[in-house]
Amino acid sequence: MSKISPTTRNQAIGRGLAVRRFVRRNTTGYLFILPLVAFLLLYQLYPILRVLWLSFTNFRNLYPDGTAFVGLRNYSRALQDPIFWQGIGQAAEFTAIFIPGGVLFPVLLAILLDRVRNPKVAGVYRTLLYIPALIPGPLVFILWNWIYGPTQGLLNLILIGGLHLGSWNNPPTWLGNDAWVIPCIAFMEWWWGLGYHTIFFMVGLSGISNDLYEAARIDGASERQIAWRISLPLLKPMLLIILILRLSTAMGVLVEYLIMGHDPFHPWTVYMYNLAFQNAMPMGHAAAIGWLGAIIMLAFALVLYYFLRPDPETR
Amino acid sequence: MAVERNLRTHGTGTRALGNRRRPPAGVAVRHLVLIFFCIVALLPIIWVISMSLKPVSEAYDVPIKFFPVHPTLDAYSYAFNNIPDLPHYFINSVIVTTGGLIGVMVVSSLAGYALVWLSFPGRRILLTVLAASLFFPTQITSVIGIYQVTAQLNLLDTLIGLILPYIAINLVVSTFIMTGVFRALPKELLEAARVDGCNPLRTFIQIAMPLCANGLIVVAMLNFIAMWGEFLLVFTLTSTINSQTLTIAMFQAAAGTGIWEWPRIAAVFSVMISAPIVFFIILQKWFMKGLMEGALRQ
Repeated sequence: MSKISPTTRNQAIGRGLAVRRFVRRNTTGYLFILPLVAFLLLYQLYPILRVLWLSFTNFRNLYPDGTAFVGLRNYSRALQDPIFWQGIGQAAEFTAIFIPGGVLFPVLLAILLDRVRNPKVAGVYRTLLYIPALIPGPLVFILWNWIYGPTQGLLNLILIGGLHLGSWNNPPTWLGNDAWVIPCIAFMEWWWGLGYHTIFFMVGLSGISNDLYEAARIDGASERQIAWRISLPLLKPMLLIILILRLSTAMGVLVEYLIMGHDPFHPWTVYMYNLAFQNAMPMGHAAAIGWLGAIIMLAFALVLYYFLRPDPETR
Repeated sequence: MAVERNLRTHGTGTRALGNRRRPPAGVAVRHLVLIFFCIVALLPIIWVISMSLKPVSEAYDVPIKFFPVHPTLDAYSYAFNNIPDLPHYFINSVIVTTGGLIGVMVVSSLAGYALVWLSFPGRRILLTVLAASLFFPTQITSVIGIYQVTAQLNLLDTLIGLILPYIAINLVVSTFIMTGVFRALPKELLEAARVDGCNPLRTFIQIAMPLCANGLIVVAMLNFIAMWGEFLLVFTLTSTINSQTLTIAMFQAAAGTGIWEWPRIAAVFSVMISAPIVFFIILQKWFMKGLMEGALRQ
C-alpha cells in the first residue's frame, strides 16, 4: 500500500499536468463569464430559491424571529383561497383579451410594411410605429391613466367631443367600470406593443427567401394567398417566441395595477405583492402564491409550445 | 449584412414585378391602414405634449380641448425651477440608468463573446440554462426574493441597491443579443488575431467590439428604456428621496393636485419620454442594423 507503483505515479503527474493545462486553457473563458454568473446567482437564482424556501415557512418580514417550517400549509391555504383563484381568473381574462390583438395587428402591419417598396417610406412608417415602444412601461401606464380619465381624458375627448357619442354630463369612467377596466388595460398594451412586435415579425419575414415569393407568383398565386400560405406559416417560430414571452408578462400583470390602481381589476400578482409588502408582511404565504402563479403560467406556456412547436422537417 | 440586403431587395426590386400586376387600390388601402396605425401610435404622445403646452387655466376645461388656445412653456420652467426635489429625482434617475447601462453592456458583451468564441467546459450547459430561464415565468415572484437579497446586503433604499438588480434582470436578454452579433464575426479574423499573438482580452476589445457596435447599440437602447422608467423594483426597494427616481415622482404626481397641476406633470412626462425618443432617432440606423445583423435571430 505504501509503495506507489510507477504507473499510478505517472498517472498522478499526468493528472497534475492535465489540471494545469485545463486551468490555463479555460481561465480566460471563465473570467469572461464570471460577472454574468455572479449576477445571475446573486440576483436571479438565489432570490427565486429563497422565495421557494420561504413558501414552506411562516416567515413574516417584520417579525423574523418566530419563523418555523410549516410544510405545505401555505400552498394548501392558497389553493383553497377564492381570492387567489379569482386573481388567476382575472389575469387569464386579461391575457385572453390582450394576446390576440397584441399579436394580430403587428402581424398584419409587418406583412403590409414588408410590401412597401420605397425604403424611405418604409423607414418612416417603421420609426413612427416604433415610438410607443420607446416609452418605458410605467410611463405608458401613467399616460393611459389620463387618457381614460372621464372629463379630461383623450378617449372621451375623441368619443364625445369628436364623434358626438355620449355626453359630457355623464362621461364613461373607463377604468372605474367593472366591465371595461380589463379591456381598457389590454387595449393600452396593444398600443404599447404595436411597433415593438411589428419589428419582431418583420425580422421574421426578412428571413423568408425571395425565391419562394417569386416561385409562388410565377405559379400564379395572388398576394393574399402568398400572405396566408407563405408569410404566415413561416412566421410561426417568431410567433411562438412572442406568444410565450407575452403570456408570462400578461399573466404577471402587476405594475399596471400598482400605477393605475383600479379596484375592479385585482389579478393574483397584486394579491401576492400586497401580502408580501404590506402590513405584517406574511412573506411565506405570499411566496407560496408566487410559486403557484409561476407554475400555472409555466403550464400555459407548455400547452402553447405543444401546439406551436416547430415541425422537425422545417428545421 | 446579407440579411439586411435581403430585406432591402425584398422591398424594392423583386416585389416590383408583383406590384405591377396588382390594382393600385390595394396599394392605397395598404398605405391608408399604415397611416391609420401611425396616427393611433402617435396621438396619445401628441396629446400629452399638447397638454404640457397649456396654461394651467386651460388644463381643467370641460369639455377639454385637444390643442392649447394660448400655448406656453410656463409648465416646463415652473416644473424644473419651482417643484422642490425634482432635480434630485432627475439626478437619481440619471445615476441609476447610467450605472445599470454600463454594467449590462460590459457584463453582457464579455459573456456573449466568451459564449461564442471561447471554449470552456460548461459552455453548452450555460447557454441552455440561459435560454430556458428566458421562458421561466418567475419575474414577478422573484421580486420578493430580490427584496430579501437587497435587505440582507443592507442596500435597501440606496442607489447601488437599485443598479445591481437592474443589471441582473436585463442580463440574459442582453447576453443573447450579444451572442447573436458576435456569432456573425468571421472566424478567420479572430484566428488571425490569435496567431499574431493577440491575447483574448485584446482580441475582444480591439477587434471584436468595434465590429459589434451595432449590437451594443441595441443592448444600450433596450436597456435604457427598461431602466429609465423602471417602477416595480424602485417602488419595492426604496422608500425615500435618497434613491427614488423620476418614475416614482411621476407616479406620486399623477394624482394631479397642489403644485402638480396637469400641464406641469405633462411637461415632466414629455421631458422623460423625449430622452429615449431622441436617442432612438439619433441611433435608429444602427439600431435597425444591429437588430437585423443578428440581435433577434437565434
